[in-house]
Amino acid sequence: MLTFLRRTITYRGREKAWQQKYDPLAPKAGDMAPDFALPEVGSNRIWRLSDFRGQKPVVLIFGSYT
Amino acid sequence: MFATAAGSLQKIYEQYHDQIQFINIYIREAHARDAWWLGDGVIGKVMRRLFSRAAYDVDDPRNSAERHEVASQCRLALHLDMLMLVDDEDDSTNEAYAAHPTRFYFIDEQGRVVYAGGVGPFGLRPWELKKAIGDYLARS
Repeated sequence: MLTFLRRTITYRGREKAWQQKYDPLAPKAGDMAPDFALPEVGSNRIWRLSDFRGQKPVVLIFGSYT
Repeated sequence: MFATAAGSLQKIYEQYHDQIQFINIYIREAHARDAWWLGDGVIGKVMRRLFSRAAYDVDDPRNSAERHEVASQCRLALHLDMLMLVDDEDDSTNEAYAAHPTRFYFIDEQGRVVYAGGVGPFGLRPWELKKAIGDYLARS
């Protein structure tokens, strides 16, 4: 339990600091969304957010496995 | 933890994927074994029981190939049918959207943000995303 608490205090602190650094720069409602060019998982195909401009609205869902 | 929202997100995807493009962007691990690990001790046992779809024994991928490998496993385990992209090793898209550890955005056809979800994990609210989509489509 102590290990968990120590780890949580350390890493949550780092996470909050990271968020405080980058969140003010992230787009807010009404802003243009930054474009990106990223590969599809397991593939070399590159997708850009701008591929969908004028076509469809887009939902972006960021996450990881853990 | 992103896995806790996966079921809700899949349902939103199934409801709206004809009208909306859903993109899941795999970013660096939130609770990798070699960092903020939640998989050991009593907490680990509870987490593994409560959130059995999430991974607990994954190290943070160190290169693009490892990211693709873990992202593939993630997509299968969380039963997410939507398009999945993999962020680069510099975390450039993660940083541009202040997305770590998890976050949602809804963007209109002109590329303008309609809804910017709160920073995760506490700002993770799938019901807000669903409402933003519903409101937008009702106006369109």
